[in-house]
Amino acid sequence: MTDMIRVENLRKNFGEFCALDGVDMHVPGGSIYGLVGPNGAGKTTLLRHIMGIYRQDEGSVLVEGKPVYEQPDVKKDMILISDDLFYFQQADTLEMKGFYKGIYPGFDEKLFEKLQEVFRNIDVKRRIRKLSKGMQKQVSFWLGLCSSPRILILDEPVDGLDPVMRRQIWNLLLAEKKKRGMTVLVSSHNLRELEEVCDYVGIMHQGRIRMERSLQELQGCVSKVQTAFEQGMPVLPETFQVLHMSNLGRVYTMIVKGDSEKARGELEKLHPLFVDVLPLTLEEIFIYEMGGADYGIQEILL
Amino acid sequence: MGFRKFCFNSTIFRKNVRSYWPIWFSWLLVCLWILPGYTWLQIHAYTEAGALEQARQEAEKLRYAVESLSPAISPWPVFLFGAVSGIAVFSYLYQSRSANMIHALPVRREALFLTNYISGLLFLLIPQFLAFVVTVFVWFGHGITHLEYLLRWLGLAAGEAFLAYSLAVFAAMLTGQAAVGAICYVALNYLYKGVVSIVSATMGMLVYGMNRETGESWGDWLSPISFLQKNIQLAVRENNQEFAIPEIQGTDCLFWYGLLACLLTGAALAIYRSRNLEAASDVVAISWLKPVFRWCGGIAAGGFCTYMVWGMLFPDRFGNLFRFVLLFGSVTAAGGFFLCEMIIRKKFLVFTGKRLKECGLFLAVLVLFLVCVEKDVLKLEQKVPEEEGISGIYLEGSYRMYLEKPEEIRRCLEVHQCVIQSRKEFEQYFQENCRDREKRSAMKWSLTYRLKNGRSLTRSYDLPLEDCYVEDSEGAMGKLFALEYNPRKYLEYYFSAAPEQLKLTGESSFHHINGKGEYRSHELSEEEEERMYQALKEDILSGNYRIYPWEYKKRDTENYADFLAFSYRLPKGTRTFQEMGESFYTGKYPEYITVPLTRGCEKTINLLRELGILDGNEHIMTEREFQNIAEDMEF
Repeated sequence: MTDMIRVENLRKNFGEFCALDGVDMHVPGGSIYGLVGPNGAGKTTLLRHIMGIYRQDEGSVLVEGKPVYEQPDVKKDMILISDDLFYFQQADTLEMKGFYKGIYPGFDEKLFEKLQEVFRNIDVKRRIRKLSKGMQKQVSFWLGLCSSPRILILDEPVDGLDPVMRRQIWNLLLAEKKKRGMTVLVSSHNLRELEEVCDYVGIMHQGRIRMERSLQELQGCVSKVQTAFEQGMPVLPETFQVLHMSNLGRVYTMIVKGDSEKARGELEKLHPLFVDVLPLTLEEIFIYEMGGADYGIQEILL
Repeated sequence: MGFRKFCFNSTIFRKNVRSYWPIWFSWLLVCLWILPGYTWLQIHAYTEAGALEQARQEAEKLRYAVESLSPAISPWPVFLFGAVSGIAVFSYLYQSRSANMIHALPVRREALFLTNYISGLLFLLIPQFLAFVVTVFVWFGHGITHLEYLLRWLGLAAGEAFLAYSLAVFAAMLTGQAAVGAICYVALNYLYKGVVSIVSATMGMLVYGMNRETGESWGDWLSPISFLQKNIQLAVRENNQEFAIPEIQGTDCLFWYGLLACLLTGAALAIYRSRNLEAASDVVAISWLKPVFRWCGGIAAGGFCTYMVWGMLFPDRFGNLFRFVLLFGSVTAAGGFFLCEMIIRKKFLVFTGKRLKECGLFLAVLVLFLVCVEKDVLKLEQKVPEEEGISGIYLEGSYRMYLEKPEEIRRCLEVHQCVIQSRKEFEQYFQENCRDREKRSAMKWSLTYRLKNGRSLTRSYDLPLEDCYVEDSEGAMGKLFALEYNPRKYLEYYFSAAPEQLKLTGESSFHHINGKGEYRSHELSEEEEERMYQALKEDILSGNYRIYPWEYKKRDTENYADFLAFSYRLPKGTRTFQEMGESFYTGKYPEYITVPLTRGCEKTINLLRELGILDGNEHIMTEREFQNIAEDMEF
């Protein structure tokens, strides 16, 4: 699958602070790419570069092989829905629709009317700034989807939405993706939700992408193993990469890097009482990966 | 990509019209009030005088209508709304949310800039045009068909709007906050005047002979509001027409201001293209401007505070205070420097090693500059023009005079050289006597050389009036007194450069104070007036009359408290000396002067007694005697 978005060696400094430190990222076309990372990792800054809002100090941001910055022909197929929404002072939904229609040539008025069913709780003649945060977010999805983007960039997209609306929005996005091959790049801290929808995941930390894989690969390369031995834990072979280990009596739980079946085979050679390989959630992968990058959970007693 | 798509986006334009309607609507109301509304009221108030002939009545009505344009030619409203409009249409740059949203749209920055720029400019121009159209109807309704006056106003108003708006947009680009944008706009409007004032004040404090106050200079146009306020006027052209109708004058500068506005627009676009959006809410949005802001802030704080403290602590102190300027100026400049840094970084603790080093460099440059000024590296103190290059010298000392003859110019140059050479002596005198105002007496002597190349050079000195200086005929003060003792120049001081062409108006009078301090005035008849004038003229030209400086002690005993007041007319353009600065008779109003009588006015006093205006035995008091009586009465 060819890359819809390609970011190479992207660097950005805000004064003396290095926000992006040589980011490399590849988002395949038609996929949903989840960008995760701790607070302050540089996710929002990266998304703003991809949208052509910020100008990079170094490196390149290419969409379908073309630079984005100051390129309306590229940007007309891209929509950003950020956590930090902005609407004009007095504008209502209908007025904003008129604005989007004037700006985005592919604005689909029929879809707007169709989606009115989904967003029926929104009074289209009421000032958007008077609506609740969740409703404002719904308006942004409504307008964003109707602009028929080929690339949808979401920054903390479903924050503030109720569970029903969250599900509704994701369903809409998945349907649009299926229908039009839309590429979605989503940055979120809600890893459980991402796990359900993402094809690819990039983990960002300290201004760099530390790991970028398909979700399947990611889940395949780290596993949780539970085992127990008669005489306590024997010395493990050097090839055995343990990211984290804890025990409860004689039962040991390990987060192991590499192929899970290979890990099982290695352990079975040590004659355990039992070996069990459990699936790892994205949240666990994130926590243990970040632990390896000095961002682990600190045991603090208060 | 088509040109229209490249530089204009109609959706954003429509959004601007809808979002900012309160601005253009308010401006429309202001325009409608200051032009058609005010004009209508003025013309309506005009009542036709039946006795006047038709042509005269029409001319009078037109004069009323044209004079009613006066509120509309003031630059203040258009500069105010220019700023509001400019900052409003680019206000999305001042919040990261709005800046990100707008710049995520598929619109180039050029198109964003030009669309917003055009929107804001039209907000100003369309209301002006509508006001013009309504005024045309008001004028037509009152039978006035001279549209050339209104068209000239429209051109003026549009030119001012273009300049004000472009300046506001330029200011808006330099910062990331709306309020700072407004401050920056005001600062840019007065930047030139501020810089000139600081330089003049510093020079005046350190360079012997330089004036601390700023006069007019060629660059005054760089402070547009004050320049337009001063130069654009409704005035009657002097062409001896039967019915004088005022015209809008001083509009020549608009062409240059138009060019300046184009340059500002181009610069604003260039800044916008290179602007980093993360600068939203920063005080200074352009990174390379931050050191400029710190340094300029430091210089402004240093110059302003030093001058203010000088004025408050040493109002009567003459002479050089280099050490005070160096020390106080450096401290306040460093304070200003760090204050600007605090504003930039929005925090108080800004004393980092890097910034302290920069401040050190700044202070080193400042001290070097002050030392260079004090040491007169540019030889400003010694600078005296070549005699051949001088067309005239305007002097203000004991009185005012203008020298044109080569011999007079030569003598004046000699006095000036003597004053420069006596600098140390005079400064020492003032330093020794600075605390004792009773003991010290001084006069200010100012020279303005009018040079043949069209330029001018002004110097101003504080000189001691002690007898030891005045009576030394080879010294600077002795030579100055000798130069000033010129009966012909005395006559010109009172009765203009052309006393022979003077026409008395018959409104002259004599004013007497008797021994009890009682004041009496006597209106002179035309015959008395003429005879008094001739007697006074003879006294002045005889050489017995003298004008002494205000603080010179001989003045108290030589001058009488009684004086004559004359009123006269002159040919228009005749040089007069009664007002401060060079002035010429305008022909509008008669000149009114007072001439104090002195011991040398023998013929004048005799004539006053002969005419019975003054009793034969009535004593005339000297100024000293009068002061004593006044002090006793007050006591």
